[in-house]
Amino acid sequence: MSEFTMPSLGADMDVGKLVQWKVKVGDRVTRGQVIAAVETSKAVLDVEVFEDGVVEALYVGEGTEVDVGTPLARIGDGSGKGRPGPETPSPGTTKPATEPGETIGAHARPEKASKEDRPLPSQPVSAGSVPADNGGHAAERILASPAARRRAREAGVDLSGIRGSGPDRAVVLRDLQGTTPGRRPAPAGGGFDREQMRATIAAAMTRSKREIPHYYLATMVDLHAAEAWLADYNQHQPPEKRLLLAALFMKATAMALARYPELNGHYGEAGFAAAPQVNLGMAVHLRGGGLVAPAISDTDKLSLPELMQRFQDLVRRARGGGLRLSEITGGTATLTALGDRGVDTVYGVIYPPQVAMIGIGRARRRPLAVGDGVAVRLAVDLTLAADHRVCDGHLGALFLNEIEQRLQQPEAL
Amino acid sequence: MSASGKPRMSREHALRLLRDMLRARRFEERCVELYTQEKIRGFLHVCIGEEAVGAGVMFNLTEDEAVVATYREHGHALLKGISMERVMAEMYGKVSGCAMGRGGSMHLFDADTRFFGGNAIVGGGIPMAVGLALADKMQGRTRATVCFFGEGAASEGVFYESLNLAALWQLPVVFICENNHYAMGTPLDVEHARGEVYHKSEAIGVPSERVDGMSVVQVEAAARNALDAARSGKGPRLIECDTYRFRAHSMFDPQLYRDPAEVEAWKEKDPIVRLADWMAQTGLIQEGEREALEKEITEEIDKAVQFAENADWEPPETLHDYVSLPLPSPLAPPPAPESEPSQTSMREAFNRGLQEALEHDERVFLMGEDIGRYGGCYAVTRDLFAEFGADRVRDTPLAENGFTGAGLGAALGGMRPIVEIMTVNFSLLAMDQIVNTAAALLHMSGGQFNVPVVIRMATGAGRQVAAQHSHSLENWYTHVPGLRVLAPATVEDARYMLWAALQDPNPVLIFEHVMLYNHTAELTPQPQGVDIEKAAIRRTGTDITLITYGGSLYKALEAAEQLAAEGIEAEVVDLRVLRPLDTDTLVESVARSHRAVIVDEGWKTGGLAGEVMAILNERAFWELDAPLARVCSEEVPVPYPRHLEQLVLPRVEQIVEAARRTLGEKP
Ligand SMILES: Cc1ncc(C[n+]2csc(CCOP(=O)(O)OP(=O)(O)O)c2C)c(N)n1
Ligand SMILES: [Mg+2]
Repeated sequence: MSEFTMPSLGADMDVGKLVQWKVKVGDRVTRGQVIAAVETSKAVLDVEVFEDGVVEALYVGEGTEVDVGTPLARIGDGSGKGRPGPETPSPGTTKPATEPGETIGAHARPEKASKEDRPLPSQPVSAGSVPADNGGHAAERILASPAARRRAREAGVDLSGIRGSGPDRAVVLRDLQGTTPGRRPAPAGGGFDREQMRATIAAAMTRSKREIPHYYLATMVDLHAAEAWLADYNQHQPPEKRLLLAALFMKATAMALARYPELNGHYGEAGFAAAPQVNLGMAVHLRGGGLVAPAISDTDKLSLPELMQRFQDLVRRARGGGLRLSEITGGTATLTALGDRGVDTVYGVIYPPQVAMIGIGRARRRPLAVGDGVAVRLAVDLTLAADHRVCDGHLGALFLNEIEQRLQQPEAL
Repeated sequence: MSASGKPRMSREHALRLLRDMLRARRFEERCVELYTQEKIRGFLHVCIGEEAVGAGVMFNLTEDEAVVATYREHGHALLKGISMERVMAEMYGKVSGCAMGRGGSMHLFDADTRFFGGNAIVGGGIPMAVGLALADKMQGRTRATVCFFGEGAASEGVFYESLNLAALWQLPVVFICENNHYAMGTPLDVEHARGEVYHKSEAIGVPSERVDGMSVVQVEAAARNALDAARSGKGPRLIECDTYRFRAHSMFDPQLYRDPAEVEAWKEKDPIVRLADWMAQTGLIQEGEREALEKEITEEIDKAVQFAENADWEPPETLHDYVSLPLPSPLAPPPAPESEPSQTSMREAFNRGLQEALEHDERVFLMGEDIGRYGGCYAVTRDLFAEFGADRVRDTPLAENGFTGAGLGAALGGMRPIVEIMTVNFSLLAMDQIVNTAAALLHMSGGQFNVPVVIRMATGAGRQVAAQHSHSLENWYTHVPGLRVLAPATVEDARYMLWAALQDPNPVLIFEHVMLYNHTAELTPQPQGVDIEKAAIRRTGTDITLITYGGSLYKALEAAEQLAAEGIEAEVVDLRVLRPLDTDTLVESVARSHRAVIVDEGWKTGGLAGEVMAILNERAFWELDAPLARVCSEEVPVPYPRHLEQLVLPRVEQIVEAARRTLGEKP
């Protein structure tokens, strides 16, 4: 007894329509006899049986389309006549792609091509259903080469403030290396992405606190001499050329750094490397939240007026989004001043890979012991956060003292 | 046949013929059944009705005589001696099949019995048979090669090309045309203005005859004579067997083109019935013998089905096995490198490579159009004819597909042919043999048949020979797995790559740019860094990588000089192996320079430059500091006038300009 199934009559045949039975139940058939006609996508074909026997049942009526392999009739010795048909020979039965118990794996039978009844989406996806703000995003997209993006990601740098010099003004690697001098400032309004900046700061500060064993020192500096010198100097200058105390702090710090190279440089994979020059970074608070610490190269070599001018330019560009990457990544130590925010003392978090952060608090008048008496003097809290892997408190103390000494001789700055 | 016209033959002889035909018949009947059950898939062409041809011819073959057949070859394969189990497993697509299951019904192969396959390109096997016979003749063997094909194939150009070669060179090959009156659904009188195929072959110069292909006895007798002639150096023969297939062309064929009455009429001449009846009449078969024979065959088939059912599928991990065989490692150095450094042109360098190969490997011979007496259309083979003679510097007729196919056949037969095709444009006429056969054979045969042929051709424009002689179509071949594609561009590569290519067990294509033939440079005595696997860095630089090959190499080098004057240091990478591409060298260079311009004389669309860009995008994206750029030929057929031709081809200033753009603003 066997099932006579819808035969495969070509590599491209998946279904066939039984158009005619040429036998009826009870007929005797012989091997090779044509017992039915089947219509495929190409033609009507005669189909033959491959055994001798008696037609015991016809499962599928004429005009029915079924998949290849679906039982059509039972051929037996005649004893099973009238027995019911197989379980589910209904029209259009879809055979499972694999037999039960079979796994689709290395040695399983290659799955036969089966048409999947995957419903079509009820509506075509039209261009109009694409999110409308896509175009807007494209316009704001920063052009940067893949290599520049990777470098920026590794360095934790925000590309938005960087002016590109590559094809189509894309930011390319050399823009991140600061090897292209004399670039025009970025277009006004080139702001920054607040979330991105937060993420950048978070990454840098987390790394700092995770990796760098900070030690902290503080000292109070009497600013009497500095204040007097400054008042005298500014008296002869037009407003735009007047100096601020900040310039003195910067210069004094930079000179001290030049003297104590253990605090001026980068701590990298191979340990600490002192920098050949002093590029003092200045923490600049950005409107709208955010912080950058662009550096002024060779800070210790600039005159006070030059320094003042560079500082003002830097703050303006930091807020306008026109910094060069060399300015962002080139700092060798950083100065943070929170005095104008009304705090007396600031203990900084080192900006990696640097190893020192110098803090300047609020300069205010306070009673100080001067000689044998008490005088009201302008004074400021000067702090140091330094990397203990590189140097010890002893050296940090010498360094802070050096700054203090220099601030006592402002005419030499 | 005896003088009375009555065949006289021994009982064993007749019984074997009957048995052979029955084995083929019953096997194929079972295949049809298995096909309806989806055990066998794809195409299935049975020869039911035509068994007398295969049985009659095969009867006389020795085991080491080669057979080349068609896609209707199950019977031929069985009768050549491949076990039914391995043939059936192949029908199933199982790894124990005679081609690892990769070929299926149309691609049965067996190295042991020298069965060179099923070939599903109508006519595709004919030149291969010619080449196998050529190899035998050149190696002094006295065996014959047999080639089966249908009368449909006798309409293909390759039939005429191949028979002409066989006749010209008097090769030991027997062509068997199975004229079954139809090519698929096209009847003989719609296929051929004159239906007698044997007249055509006779006219070409191959002694031919027609026999009743429904009589195994007549086929056998004719084949015996033809084979004897071939073996004894009398040259090729053709036998046209008048026959008929009883079943459809393939499984899916409603046979709308013929009258069932015609089929019935032919069934009256069923070769099996005919032989069996005659044996019964003459007492050659006794009571019960036929039944015993049938039973034995049924058992063999049942066993084969069982074997196939139980056999494994090829595991996916080995899918890439046998695309190519590995190169020997290390490659043997050239046997006779130059002794003195000397100024050498590319043409001379190629010539010396060929000369060295001919001198040091007796399996090597050259074949191609006008390579001998004329000296080569680009004079690359000059003087070799005089030195090595007409056998080893073999002028061929104008028959690219035919002689290239013969080259593959000769390679399969143990020779190391170096085929020259005048230009890549003309190679398109040989593309079938290169792509469908040479490149595919090893994998398709489950690793049994590698084709160690070297095919040289000129490429490129610049000589004002217009569109049909000037194109750079290398990429048509670099697309194809199984091929190695070389493009030597220095005198050293021109001189020494050939010796390495001859050691490659796979087909190798060598592209020689026409503008480089006169390029002259100092050729060092010892090969320095010549190989056929790696790209070569021809100039180092850190700012940008110029990637190129062949005729564009010197343009890229000149562009690099100009860029250097502007302070831009360009690295120039000469691909030189176009397939398989040395991607590591490309990626490493671009990882250093972060920028690349690809220079390719081919057209841009679908070209090699695009492929290189895609590879860099896949493997070096995060290294890229600028969009990749390419300089290709203008997308027009190359025109004749010089100013227009030059306009079409990549120019130095375009390369410089592309590099500048890639670099952005001047630093
Ligand atoms: C080059 C090529 N063209 C077309 C086909 C499609 N095709 C397969 S078999 C066939 C008919 C061949 O007829 P014939 O050579 O007489 O052999 P037969 O099938 O009759 O044995 C055709 C057209 C093919 N396989 N190869
Ligand atoms: Mg035919």
